[in-house]
Amino acid sequence: MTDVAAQLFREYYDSLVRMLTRRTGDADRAEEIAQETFARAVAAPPRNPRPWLFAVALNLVREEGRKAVRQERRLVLYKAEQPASTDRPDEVMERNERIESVRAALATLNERDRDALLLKAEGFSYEDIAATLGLARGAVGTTLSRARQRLVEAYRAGEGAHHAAS
Amino acid sequence: MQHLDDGLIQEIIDGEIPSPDLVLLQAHLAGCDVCRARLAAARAAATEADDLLVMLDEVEPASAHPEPVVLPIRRPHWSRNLAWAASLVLAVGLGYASRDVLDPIVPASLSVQEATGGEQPASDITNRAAADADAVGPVEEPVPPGQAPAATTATTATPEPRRDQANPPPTVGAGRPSNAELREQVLPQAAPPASGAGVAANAEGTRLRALGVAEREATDPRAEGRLTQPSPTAFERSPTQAGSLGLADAAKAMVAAREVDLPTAMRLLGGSIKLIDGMVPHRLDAAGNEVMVVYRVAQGELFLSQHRDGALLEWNLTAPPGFPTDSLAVLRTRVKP
Repeated sequence: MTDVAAQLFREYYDSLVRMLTRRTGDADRAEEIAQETFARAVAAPPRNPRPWLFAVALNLVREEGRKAVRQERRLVLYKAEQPASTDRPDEVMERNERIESVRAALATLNERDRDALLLKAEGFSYEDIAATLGLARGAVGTTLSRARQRLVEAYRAGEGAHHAAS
Repeated sequence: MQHLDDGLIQEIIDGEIPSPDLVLLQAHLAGCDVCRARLAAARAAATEADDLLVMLDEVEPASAHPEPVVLPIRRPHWSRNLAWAASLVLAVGLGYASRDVLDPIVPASLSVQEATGGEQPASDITNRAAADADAVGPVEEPVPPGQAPAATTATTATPEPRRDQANPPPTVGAGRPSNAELREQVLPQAAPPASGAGVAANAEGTRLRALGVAEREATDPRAEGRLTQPSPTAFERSPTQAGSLGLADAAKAMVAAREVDLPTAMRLLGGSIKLIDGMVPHRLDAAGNEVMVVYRVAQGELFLSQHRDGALLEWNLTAPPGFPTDSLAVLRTRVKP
């Protein structure tokens, strides 16, 4: 790997994988997409790497999606997720339920709001968010306002429905 | 007084305002209760949103386990139950070999419901769902398409032939329970056969004895609440119900169960598999073309059994004793895809 590519990898790989994992709910898929993204960056090094990397990765997420493959990876991921034997099954179940509630809440956001929120969580500036998502710089604030509000409301609504059902 | 718009408030929260402009904004905030309250609310929402996203990181990244992991091999406890249930199915089916009806195995819950007028194990829910569709709601009589419901044909129509009738059932082979073992596992009070079979309604026990099948109550305590585990009364069938048991399913069930990995399980199920969204499978077992996804819960193990029936991926979710019925109902809605 060239020095430039190695530098890119060191700086952005973990953040990219984390964002993709949150975005897709599938760590294996996230890693594959990240690797594909970096492969493309090595082939054609971008001038503004961070927005470029994340934009390409998000595009790959949108393009990709074989359900069976996701299921397969998910089961392997579940095995990796399995906590140490000291965790009680009901604790595992509760944690998984919380995670599922967050994912469900995140899924209520439109794609642009969701991506903006995930990029901000990775420390992106408004400038970089605008560059990555193709937004006007002035629109990022309102996008994030809407996304954050929506996520919190959807999560609370989901938790409320869950507790009501139980 | 003009107030700050939402976008500007977000920029303040996220530190995007250049220092000279920030001084002006802070001066406004000092004199505007409304904007101060909105700023505080927006900051709280941003913090809460960040905390929620961090929760998604509780999933351990796969990079920590780069190798695909095969679920651990454990003795498939339910193989005996299937073999035991299959033995009864086979015994009844043999008595009706001339029939051209091969319905799927009637689940214990249905049998109990039919025989006892509605009593159904609270922990057993059976559903039929399309391969790529979310589970439908619980049905009182799980019946594959094209066939008459076994539970409702107590006095009515003869069931229709199965689609896979042309497929001969696999023969019992090595590794499967012996006939002696199977005979020992058959319940004593099997239901009277269907009226169309020409066997007396209350002569089921006699007929089974004639076939060499011993009548003995199942004693495996672990079987309670498991897949197709009937009570002693479960097989007190109505005359027309006995004919709803399929030889093909009995033979499949008699194949010894084994632990499998996910690719194998999916292959057995025709390329897909149903899982409970949000739960971590403990292992996968397979017997013939039936796959069992096992989940650990506080009360024991949940069993999501499934098999391919033509275009349908039929499944059954069974919980251990003491598992809340309403929780099981919630989990049923989470069986995906």
